[in-house]
Amino acid sequence: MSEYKNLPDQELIGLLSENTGPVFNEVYNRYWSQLFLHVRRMLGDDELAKDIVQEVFTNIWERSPDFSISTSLSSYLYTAVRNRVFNEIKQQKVKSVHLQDIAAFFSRGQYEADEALRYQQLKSAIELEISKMPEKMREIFELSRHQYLSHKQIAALMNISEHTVRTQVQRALRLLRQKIDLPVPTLFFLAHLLK
Amino acid sequence: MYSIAGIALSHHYKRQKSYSMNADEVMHLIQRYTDHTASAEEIALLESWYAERAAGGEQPLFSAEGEETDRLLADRFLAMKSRSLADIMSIPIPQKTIQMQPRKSYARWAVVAASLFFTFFSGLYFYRELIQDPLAEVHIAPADAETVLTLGDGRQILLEEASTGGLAKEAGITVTKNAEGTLVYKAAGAGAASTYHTVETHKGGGQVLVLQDGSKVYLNASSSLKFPPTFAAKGKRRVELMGEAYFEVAKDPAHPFMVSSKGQELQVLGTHFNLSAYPEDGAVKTTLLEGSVEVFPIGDAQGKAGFGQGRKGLLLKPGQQSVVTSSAAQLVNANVEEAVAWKNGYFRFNDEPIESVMKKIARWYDIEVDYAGAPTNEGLSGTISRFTDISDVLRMLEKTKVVHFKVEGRRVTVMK
Repeated sequence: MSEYKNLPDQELIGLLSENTGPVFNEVYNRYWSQLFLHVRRMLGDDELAKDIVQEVFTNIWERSPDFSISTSLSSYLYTAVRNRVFNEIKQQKVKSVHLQDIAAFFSRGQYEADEALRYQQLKSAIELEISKMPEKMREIFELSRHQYLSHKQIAALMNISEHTVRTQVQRALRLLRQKIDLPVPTLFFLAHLLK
Repeated sequence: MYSIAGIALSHHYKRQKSYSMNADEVMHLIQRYTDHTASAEEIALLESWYAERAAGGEQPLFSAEGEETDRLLADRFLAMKSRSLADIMSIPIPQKTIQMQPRKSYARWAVVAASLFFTFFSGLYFYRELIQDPLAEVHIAPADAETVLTLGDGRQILLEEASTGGLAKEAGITVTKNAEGTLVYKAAGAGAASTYHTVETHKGGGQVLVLQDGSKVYLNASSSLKFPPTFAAKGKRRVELMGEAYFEVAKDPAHPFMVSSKGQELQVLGTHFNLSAYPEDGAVKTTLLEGSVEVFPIGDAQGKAGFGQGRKGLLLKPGQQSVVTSSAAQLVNANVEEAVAWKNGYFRFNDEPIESVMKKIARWYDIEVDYAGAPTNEGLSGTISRFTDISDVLRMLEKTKVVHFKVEGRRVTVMK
């Protein structure tokens, strides 16, 4: 599975139709956290944020046999999420605070006319989201981003039960512990895998 | 870190006139934004607001309640992440292959296809090269569809302009255009007209018809279908095709369905097949998806490929294609996806000669095709939406590196 970890986005997307499960999994792991945190900031609702990010990824999953984009993957994801957030605001599922906020912003009348720069601002805001988390939380998140697969993911990919995955991982861990002293981060990672 | 970026970027802010708006106006603005009808300035304002908001300002996102809470919260998020992934991956992925029993309407396919950007599969697969693109200035959309229905008495109706609902009433039938644009023939009362109706499509067009027996016909661009508004109570159901159509013939063993076209006749009982018989193409191709059909080549004046009046036909099995030319008739294994790609809103080429590719393109876009020098012998492969601009199609073909194009007005010159 890890063979995809070091591939740049462009190449990864090119492989999506061939090896959908693992490639999709990597795309998802790469972007889920920051997208989720971003939408959560915009809408202040965990479940809604989860749903919106899920929709965006579902769209890629369902189109995976033919998925092709003319922009970068991050640009595709960030703008897809932005459109959905605007939709939520429009449907007033979120407090009308946003509407007033937009009105106030408009009355200030300052805006960035250059589309590329606007996009850069959005990109850095989304990508810095994780760094703004409290330290402990961020640690756990970063770990999940750099970890390979969760039990559920492995089970789904390999079409075996979660229980089987857990047993296999435990067995491997036992073996490892007998043989070597693991560095702390690795232990943290393995412990997380066992949760 | 972010604040540095923020300060740096803030120098680029331009000041414009200010607006004062109420909540309703903001809602309408967002509506325009999501409909893609907002002005450039409105888009800039909304997206600037969004970026600023995303940066977060002073808003704390997480309450400072200590590490334990943070840990719990992070676990909760990660549980959401796994659950979400499992939910997504439990959805079966639609396959690239064509459904054997198309269920969705032509119009819906068109929308779906149009929303899919640009897919391209071939041995040579390159991402869009942004540098030096002579096709960047070329914008030719598919030709305006224009479909004409000619009734038994010679009256003509332009279908794009006709409103939804009843179009014509003749002895024994009603003709309606439904919300999806499909032309539907229904038996009504006694009597049967002994006349013929013709539906003719032009470049960039297409029409779906449901004949009186329930058979469904998807007519491709630059094609025409001649058929009786009601089929006779006895004998065969006969229609004539010029061009290309996909047929889903209603089962009725007592009344075999006959399609006459250039170079052949074809008989079916109840089945799904595609028939391509354009006058400018050398071969007439019948591709069977389901059921069984029998193709009877008519042959040229010398009767070279003719099967005479004794009539022994080519019997097709699903997945097979008959290729009938003026001098030969043969059965081959079909590339079914390729044969019906047009119906699903795609151009699909699989090792196809450039001349054949260009003919298909010229039936869709209102263009003329020229060749500078002898065209390449190499086959071209690729798949792309038919609802895209011609420059996307040509660009895709250029990626194969065996052809290049020059476009002047509506004239497309094919070069090596």
